[in-house]
Amino acid sequence: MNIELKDLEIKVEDKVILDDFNLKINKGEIHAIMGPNGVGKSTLSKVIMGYPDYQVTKGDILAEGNSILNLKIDERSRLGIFLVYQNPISIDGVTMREIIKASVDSKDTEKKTLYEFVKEIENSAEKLEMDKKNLHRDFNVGFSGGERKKNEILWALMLKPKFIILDELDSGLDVDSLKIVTDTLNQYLKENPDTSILIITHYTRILDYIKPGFVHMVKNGKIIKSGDFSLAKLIEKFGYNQSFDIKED
Amino acid sequence: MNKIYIDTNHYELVIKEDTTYYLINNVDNLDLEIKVLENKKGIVYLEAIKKKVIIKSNVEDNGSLLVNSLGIDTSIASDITLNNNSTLRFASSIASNVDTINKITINQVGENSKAEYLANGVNLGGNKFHFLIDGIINKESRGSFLEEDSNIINLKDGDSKIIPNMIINNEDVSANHSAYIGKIKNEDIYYLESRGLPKKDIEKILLKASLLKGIGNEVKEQFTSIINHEIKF
Repeated sequence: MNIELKDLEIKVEDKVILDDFNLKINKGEIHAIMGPNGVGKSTLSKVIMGYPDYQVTKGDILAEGNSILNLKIDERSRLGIFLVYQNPISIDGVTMREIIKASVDSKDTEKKTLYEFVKEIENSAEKLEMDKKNLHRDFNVGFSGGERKKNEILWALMLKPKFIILDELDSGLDVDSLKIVTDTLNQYLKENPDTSILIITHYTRILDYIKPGFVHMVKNGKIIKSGDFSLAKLIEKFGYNQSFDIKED
Repeated sequence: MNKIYIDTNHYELVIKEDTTYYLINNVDNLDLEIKVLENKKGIVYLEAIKKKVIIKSNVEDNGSLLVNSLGIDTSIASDITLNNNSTLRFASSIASNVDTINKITINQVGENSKAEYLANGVNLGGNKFHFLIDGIINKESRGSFLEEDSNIINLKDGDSKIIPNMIINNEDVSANHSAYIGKIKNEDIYYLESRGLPKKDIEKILLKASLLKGIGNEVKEQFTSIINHEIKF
């Protein structure tokens, strides 16, 4: 999916969080946004998703060339945008399988039979090396941080998004789980080459598993530097406070 | 599971063996008495649709009682006594469009007794909806445990109240409570909207979920079908 953020200005309670923010992501591209805490990285993901707490005071967000500013959160989701949350919620009283089924049904015009759905979700759970019993547990209740992240990716596989935002995917994931999750995502990208990805992260660790073609450094609500994967390596080496005029040896 | 239709205003259930009962109340005002004898385990599921129920229970030494109840437009009051080493797990779910006052008393008179009371409420209209929960741990009840967790979701601007009292007369006990009254959290709505679910569907899902919290898998399907049938969302 082609996504474009054009001259965006975002305010929360009259405070400017993102300013003059421009980013173009073409079909099949992987971009990474890097920056220290509190510079508006997670805000960006919620703005793209359409959270009403964030006011878009200037600029536009385009999906396939069309403005999505007037679309509600669920409409943006049905368009194919999927946000993998840093801290997903939990819901007592409804199982993971039930909630994902309701979500899949709301998206698909041709509803899957229960058998088709169960087969597909169990296959996806297998790819993520999840215990299938977890599908029958209340959604995210008593799950570890890593298990919750796997649940997020499972849900993504079931909805088949065209643009995925990964907000701090690696937080809470141990090395083995991170490899399983990123291998599954890379396989999904291979099977769905038009899908684009925006990775939001502090650290470069995840970028070793899902390699971005474009890296952007954010500070004070703006992209201050863009480059290829080597920019991530420079950030890893010198931190966010360098001007990056430094050349690597 | 023993299924029993109750057509009398006073019904006494004595748990003499480890048994599971599914009770369907058909009278307007039911006094239900549950006695769990020593070392026995009783599981009681209860449906009360548009009927009032008062549950009086005594769990004898080393006995165990699990109750899951679902009430629609009703009040369920309980008065439960726990003796030595006995346990109670009670999940009471009520959705109501009429005034409902639910008074619960848990009286822990024995040592090492354990009580967990979960009250789930959905206030469907502008009515009164109260959970008044008294947990009493007596002087002789050392080593006991008490937990009260109460939640009311207000669909409109109803008069909802939770009054949790804990009267603790022994220092060697553990007791805690939590209470929430409010609308469905925006955070939950936004999260599920971001998965393509429309707000109306989300409200239904979350209300059902709040009524099924803590309810055993054995009766979830039955309770879900009652909720779907009885509540006009």
